[in-house]
Amino acid sequence: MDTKVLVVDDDMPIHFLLKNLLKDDFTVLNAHNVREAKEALTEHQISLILSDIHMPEITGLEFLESLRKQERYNQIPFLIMTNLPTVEKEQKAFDLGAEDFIKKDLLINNKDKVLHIIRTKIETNSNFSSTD
Amino acid sequence: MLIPEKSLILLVDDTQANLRLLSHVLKKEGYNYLEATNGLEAIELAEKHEPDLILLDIMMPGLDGFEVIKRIKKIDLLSDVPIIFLSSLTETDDKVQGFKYGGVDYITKPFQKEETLARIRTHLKIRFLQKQLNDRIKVLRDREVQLSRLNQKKDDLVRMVSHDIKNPLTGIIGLVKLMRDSDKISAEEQTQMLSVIEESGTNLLNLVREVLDRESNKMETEEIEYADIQFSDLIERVISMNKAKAVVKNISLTYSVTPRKLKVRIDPNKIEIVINNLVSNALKFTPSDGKSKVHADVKRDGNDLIISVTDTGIGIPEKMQKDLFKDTKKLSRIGTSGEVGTGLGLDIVQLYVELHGGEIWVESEIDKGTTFFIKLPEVT
Repeated sequence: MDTKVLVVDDDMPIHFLLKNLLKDDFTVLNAHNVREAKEALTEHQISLILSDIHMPEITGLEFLESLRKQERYNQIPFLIMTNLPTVEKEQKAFDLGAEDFIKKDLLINNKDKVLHIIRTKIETNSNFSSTD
Repeated sequence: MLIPEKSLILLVDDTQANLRLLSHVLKKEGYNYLEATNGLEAIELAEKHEPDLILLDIMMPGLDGFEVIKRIKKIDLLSDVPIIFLSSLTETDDKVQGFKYGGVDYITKPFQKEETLARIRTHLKIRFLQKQLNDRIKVLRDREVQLSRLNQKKDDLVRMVSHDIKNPLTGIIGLVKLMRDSDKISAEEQTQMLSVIEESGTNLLNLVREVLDRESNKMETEEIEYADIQFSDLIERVISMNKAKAVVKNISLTYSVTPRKLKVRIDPNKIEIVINNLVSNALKFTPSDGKSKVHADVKRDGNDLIISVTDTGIGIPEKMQKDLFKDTKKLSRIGTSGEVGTGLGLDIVQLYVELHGGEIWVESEIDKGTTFFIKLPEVT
């Protein structure tokens, strides 16, 4: 079965960058806002979510918070991405249960690191899931 | 202001003859005065009338002058009022004690008229200068608070603009690198990426324009300059300024003015900016699906003017509506062509409407559209 990664961002270029980075390993689903992301979750088996913070209507952090309260989704690794990282945002993301906090600059400067993080999170999670 | 003639002086002495003498001198100089013959009466009058200066006898039955000054210094409103002691005592001890309790000067009886007046004038002058200084300090403190608030606003704006600039830039640089470094990109993908790069670049340009517009709007005075105009002229200008944007997004952009030759008395420059901002926002947040409309409607309602700008756009979530008119700290939103919204603009709209004594409100439904209403009172 193919592994699906859901990218949630209102910024088009990010979708292109991530799709190109991930397409050899995963199927990438694109959502431009949280509403679309929720639809994708009901229709697909998602292995990892990568979400921007600043989006109209519902922010990535609010999305994360709502997923962590739902048993169906609370095991899916959730990575927060942002262009303007702050210590507060990072802390908030981890407090809410994010698996990692990714600065978007990495998509330009160190794509391999992003790929590595995503691979590792998915592998760890699938090992964990298969043992229970 | 230093107007000694209007100063109020409280005279406190248990000897009627002294009071008469002092009041006679003060009256001739044009001062207002109050008389008290004992300490308790003095405190009561001082609290009630807040004199500018007190002449206080030391030796009095009941509360003596030192007791009176101790109590007066504890009263907030009176603690700064200069107090000059009066006494026939000439011992240095008394003088020292008087100064210790906060007296500013000392006059010995029998009074020498010129000396008494000179001391009164000097202390009144100090008192008034001190008051002026305190007022200045208060103004400066208020301004400091105001400035720090403005500075905070500016910081917020800079942060928001930085975010809105950084996002498209990350995209542009990322995509260019990707196209240069990867050989696995199809021609179709390349075309898509190029158009995304173009769009991001356009967004950046729009953002910079928006900030510049805001700066130039700020330059205009915040005073109203009324003029009698025919409203259709104004709205036609706004429509023609936005026509190109509407054509590009395939949105029908229309207006109506009832009655057709409506004449109003408003500040045309400010109201033009108001309507222009609303119309260009409406275009920004309306998707181009072929049936999209933006309509500006102007009607007379008694002597008032009702302006509304309606779109068939994405709508404004309820929780965001509440924040629209509060402050400039609005959430940044992205338009339906990915246009960057910094929340600039609506605060100017609100300000200009309020300068006209008008009101602004919004009705909106998600995915159905939004209408902004403006009511300008007594303009027709």
